Amino acid sequence: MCVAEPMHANCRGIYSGHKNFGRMNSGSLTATSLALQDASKSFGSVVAVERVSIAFDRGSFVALVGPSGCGKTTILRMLGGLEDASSGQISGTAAMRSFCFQEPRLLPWRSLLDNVALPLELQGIARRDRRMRAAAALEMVRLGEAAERFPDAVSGGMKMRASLARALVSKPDLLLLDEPFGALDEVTRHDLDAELRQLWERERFTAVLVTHSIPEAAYLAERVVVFSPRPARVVLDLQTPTDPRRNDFWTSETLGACVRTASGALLAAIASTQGVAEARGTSGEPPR
Amino acid sequence: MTAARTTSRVVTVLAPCVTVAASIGLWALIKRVGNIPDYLLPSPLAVVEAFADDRTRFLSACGETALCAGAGFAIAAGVGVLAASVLSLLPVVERAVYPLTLLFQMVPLIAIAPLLAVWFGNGRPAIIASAAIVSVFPVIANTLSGLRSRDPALAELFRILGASPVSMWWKLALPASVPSIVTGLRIAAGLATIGTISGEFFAGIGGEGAPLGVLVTTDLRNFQTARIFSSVVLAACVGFALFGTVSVAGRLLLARWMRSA
Repeated sequence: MCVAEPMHANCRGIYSGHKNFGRMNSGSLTATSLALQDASKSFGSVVAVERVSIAFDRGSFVALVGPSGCGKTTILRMLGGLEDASSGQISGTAAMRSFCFQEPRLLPWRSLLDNVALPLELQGIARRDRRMRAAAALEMVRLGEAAERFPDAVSGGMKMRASLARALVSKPDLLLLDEPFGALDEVTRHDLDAELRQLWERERFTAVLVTHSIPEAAYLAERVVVFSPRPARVVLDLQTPTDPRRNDFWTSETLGACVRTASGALLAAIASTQGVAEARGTSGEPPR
Repeated sequence: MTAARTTSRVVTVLAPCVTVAASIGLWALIKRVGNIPDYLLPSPLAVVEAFADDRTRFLSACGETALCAGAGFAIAAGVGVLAASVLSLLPVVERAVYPLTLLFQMVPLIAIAPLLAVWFGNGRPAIIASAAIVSVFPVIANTLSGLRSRDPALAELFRILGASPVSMWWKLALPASVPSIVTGLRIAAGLATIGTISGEFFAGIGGEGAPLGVLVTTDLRNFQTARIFSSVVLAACVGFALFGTVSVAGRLLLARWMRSA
């Protein structure tokens, strides 16, 4: 509860500071760039994903929610080109895609700056240029001061920020996030969620977030897709308003609809949060 | 706390010294009490005297042996890391060659050393080859195990980032296997001296610049056991020096690598 307060202030800052509400639904931004059509995936006899169709609007922020092991990570990996579909189609996979994993996956023998510069280095960009861009990316996640420090000398939250900076340094069209802050403590997680949302507002990449936290999905995404337990099937596809009305959208009813359609296990995990949202929903505050 | 740490450090340094001193004392005691003839076991003092009487020659022999051991070790380090890298980059070659390298390691060097003398002629090349051949296998084996044990999550990251096999090797697998490589090099440093002395037994050239191995064989013929002991101690010093250098260099390098897993 007490950690929600600074978040709240943060959210308000984002919403009131955002000037592009009117443009957000314009044609160019809603053009379909990435889609799954009837995509299924099996590993041996195990069906992980069954006939899933989702179209992702360019520049949108979509959260994929479902119980653990339901196959949502597999969907993310298919979108990123790491897995082929067993049947069905994956279309319009963006040329510039980036991943942000649950673990930071930093090279321990490199400074944060050199870690963030890695994607550029592998693209063959000159040292000076890539270091400049990496420094800018670190600045973006408020790690400018720690650029020369090594991964083991910084906190888990800072490692995750560096990982996010590395994902963003090559200016991706598509950012795939696989429970990126799941291993962090509650306070840090809230901070990073707010920063991610701000970065997305500013950079407008297409973001696909896999999470099992409905409040996180509700806070970050414009659209929440809820999956059934394995094999993953879409059970709810919820478009959420992106304008200031967003604050009022997530009430006990909408959040409850999300929660009820998700699995029993998820329901139990979210039950307490729902109470929080309910209390907050009546006063028109964001669900956190 | 600090006092306890200082005490423990003093014990760490002092305890081995005491052991060495006690061993030398025991050696002197056995020699005196057992009344053992000099050609079987010289007294510690006689060994020191033998060295002092001919120290220029011993020191130049020591330098020659150290040079060959160092050169052989350097070749083994370079060739070993490179060979293991090629094996890891080309899995087909690894399948075909690696079992044979393990088998080849079983061949006793002492049996190959005369052949090296035949192939390279007497002198430094054969001796360096002998040192390199003995010490290259632990470098290959350790480097290869390091290259294989790279973190699959990081490998996936590199694949996503579109890394080529060569940059995957240079930027991920090789740096990740530095701890294993250092372990291999430390083993190799010890073996290089053994290979050098064995090589010198068969391919060493006598005379002014004779290495330690040649001094040993020459003194053996003259039953100058005290001189043999001097050579053995000096050869051990060469081994220690090489091992120590590699250990210190490795520790400095690992200070960066061992930061976190």
